[in-house]
Amino acid sequence: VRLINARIQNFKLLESLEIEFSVDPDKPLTLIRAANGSGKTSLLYALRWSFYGMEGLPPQAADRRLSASFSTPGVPVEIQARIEFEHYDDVSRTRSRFRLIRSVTETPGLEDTVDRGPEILRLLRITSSGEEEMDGAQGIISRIIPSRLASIFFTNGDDVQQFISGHIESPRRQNAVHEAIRMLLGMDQLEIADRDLDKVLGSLKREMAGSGGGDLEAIIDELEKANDALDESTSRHKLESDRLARIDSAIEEDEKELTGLRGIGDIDEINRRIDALERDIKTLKGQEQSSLDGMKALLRSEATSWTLMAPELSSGLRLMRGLADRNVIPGTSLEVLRDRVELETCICGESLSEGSKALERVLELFQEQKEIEPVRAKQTQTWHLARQSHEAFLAEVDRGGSLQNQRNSTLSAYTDAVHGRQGKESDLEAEKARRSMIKEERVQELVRRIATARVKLSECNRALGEALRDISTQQTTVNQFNEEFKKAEARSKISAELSARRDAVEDLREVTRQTLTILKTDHVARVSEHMNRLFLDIVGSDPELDASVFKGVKIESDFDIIVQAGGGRTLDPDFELNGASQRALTLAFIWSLMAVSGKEAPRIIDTPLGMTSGGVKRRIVEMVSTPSESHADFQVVLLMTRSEVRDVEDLLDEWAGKSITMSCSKDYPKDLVSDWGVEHPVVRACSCDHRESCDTCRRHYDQTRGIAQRKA
Amino acid sequence: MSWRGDSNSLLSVAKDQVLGIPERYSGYRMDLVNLLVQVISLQSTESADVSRRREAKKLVSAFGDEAARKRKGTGK
Repeated sequence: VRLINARIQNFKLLESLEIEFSVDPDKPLTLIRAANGSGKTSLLYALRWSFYGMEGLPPQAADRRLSASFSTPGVPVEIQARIEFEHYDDVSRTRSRFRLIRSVTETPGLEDTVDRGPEILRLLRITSSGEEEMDGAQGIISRIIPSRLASIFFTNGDDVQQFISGHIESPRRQNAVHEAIRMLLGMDQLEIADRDLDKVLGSLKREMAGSGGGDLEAIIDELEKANDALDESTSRHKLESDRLARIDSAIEEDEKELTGLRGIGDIDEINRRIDALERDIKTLKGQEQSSLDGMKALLRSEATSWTLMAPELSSGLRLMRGLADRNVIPGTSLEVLRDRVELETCICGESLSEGSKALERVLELFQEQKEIEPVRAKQTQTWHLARQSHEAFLAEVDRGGSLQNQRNSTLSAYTDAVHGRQGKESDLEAEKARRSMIKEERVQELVRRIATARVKLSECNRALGEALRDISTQQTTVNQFNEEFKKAEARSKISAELSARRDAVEDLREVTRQTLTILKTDHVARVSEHMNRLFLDIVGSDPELDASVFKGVKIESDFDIIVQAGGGRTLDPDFELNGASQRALTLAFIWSLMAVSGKEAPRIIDTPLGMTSGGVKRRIVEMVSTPSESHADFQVVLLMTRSEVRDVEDLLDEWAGKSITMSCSKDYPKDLVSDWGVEHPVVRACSCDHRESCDTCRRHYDQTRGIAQRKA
Repeated sequence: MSWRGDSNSLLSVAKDQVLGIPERYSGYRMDLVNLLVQVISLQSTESADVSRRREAKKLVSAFGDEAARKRKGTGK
């Protein structure tokens, strides 16, 4: 198949897009330059849809609209893809041109729903006398460019690891490799031919028995019964294999969704974390309150007064000490004076007799003392309290418990508690948000479905085993009857024509089976060797050098692609292979398969050079642009960003026969220079190549990167 | 898809394998390879098993009859 042109209408933002593909064998590359979000992936999907319908799109696309998301609800939109391509017929050795038209009408509803009508597919053969409508269009397309090989022909560079990624379940990955090899090497065609020839041989033998009579008829009856039983077992095996593949696929889908949901977290575990966080928050709030209380007590404490008002209080203390030293405090006791008066003798021994001067003086003193007693009592009390308080303060300071230290320690405990609480509250909020995202019922449903599917898988495997055993036994029986038939045939008279027909079928079947055997062994090895050479060349690794990281890559007998490092070690493609090498390996596999099979189809790659740079980047472009042998139909379509184009411009000059640039109006004014004056985002194409820009596609940084301005 | 040259294709393998078949008349092996191509190509036009096998039998029968005629000519 060689693509000639494509016209896409109303597919996502591709409102009206026309592309001419390069059919120049010397410049087999078609370059579609587009920035991120400018329609590269939409175009890849549009091409896949045009060939395969919804089957060609990712499963989740079935529920999504093909038309633009801003389409007016209730207004039908016709989505259409018209692809013109050439196909070279192997048998007639003639080249035919076809036009494929796929269309569907979508009526957008509210809230992103869509009512999609039936798809209409037409395939027209273009001849010199006009166009001829082909019956069974999808069947013809499937034979020309099988949907099972869609990932070979239409590759998303960001998703190229399906043949190698350890993230993909090993049987599925091996199956992808096996399927690609089988289809491209033509093994499936040979297997169908082999079954057809078996049937033809059976039919011929029946004719021979009819003409030979006798033993032959009896034997052919038995042989047919044995063949029928073998057919039944073979069909059963195929049914179970298909069923197994379907169950396997369903399990993978469910597990993918479950992993996504569980990636958010396990609901029980999240609830446990929420409980623990709530407990921690309560404890921290208690610590916070306790620190605040401590701080309040500290502020109220005498130590704070002694620290903050040290000069004033010290001065007061000194004054009081002076009063004490002068025995002003504590003051003379009124009780003592009263006792002295009653005893009529002073402490000094003088008589305090009635009318004496001494008594008069003591009574004056008594009166005086009586007047000042409350003040002095207070002074005394204050003096004692102040002295004790000061001594306690000094002792505390000696122990290192200064106000500053106590303040710092309390404040630190408080801030720790506050920060701790805030952190826990934030965690709590996140956990609660996570919990709200988990659709627990869906998780339970998926778990149930996977468990049920696994039981079915196990039943399927058992049934497959039984079918294989039956096939083996029945094959032996068929072989025995065939031997008997030959012996009986030798005894009977069969016409030369019938014998020649039988010989032809048997010879043809022998060639078919031997060819199949060679393809399964020798050719898989050739794909493996070819891939190894290409890969090592791209990554610039010489396996003979001790310092080289890669020693080689190969396809194992179980169809796993493995990467070999020094010391007999194999590398994990996900963790030990960088993005550029992963891309190089997958592309090397696809290119090797095409080269060894000798079959040709367009290879359309979205973002082929992401994550690559330098020599690897250049060598990838060289590999994908260079046909391995005859290059009549060799065709490569690369959908690249400006960053990918950088540093390989000279190679694109050499290999690109056609170039276009796609831009999206949403990039104005941030990146695009010109305002297209459109109401909704739309993707447009211009004929600028990788060294040019025009009013439609010019971006602000183009001039600084040497991209020349061109008049549109 | 189209065959691109014969050196790497299924056909080239089949051409090697046919050498193990007796040359029942001069050119028999090459005719057999061409017959294989025709039988395989029926898959492109006849998707139903019954009709495809009927067509295959017609092709093989015609081939066998022609082979018988040529074999008589050569005495093999």
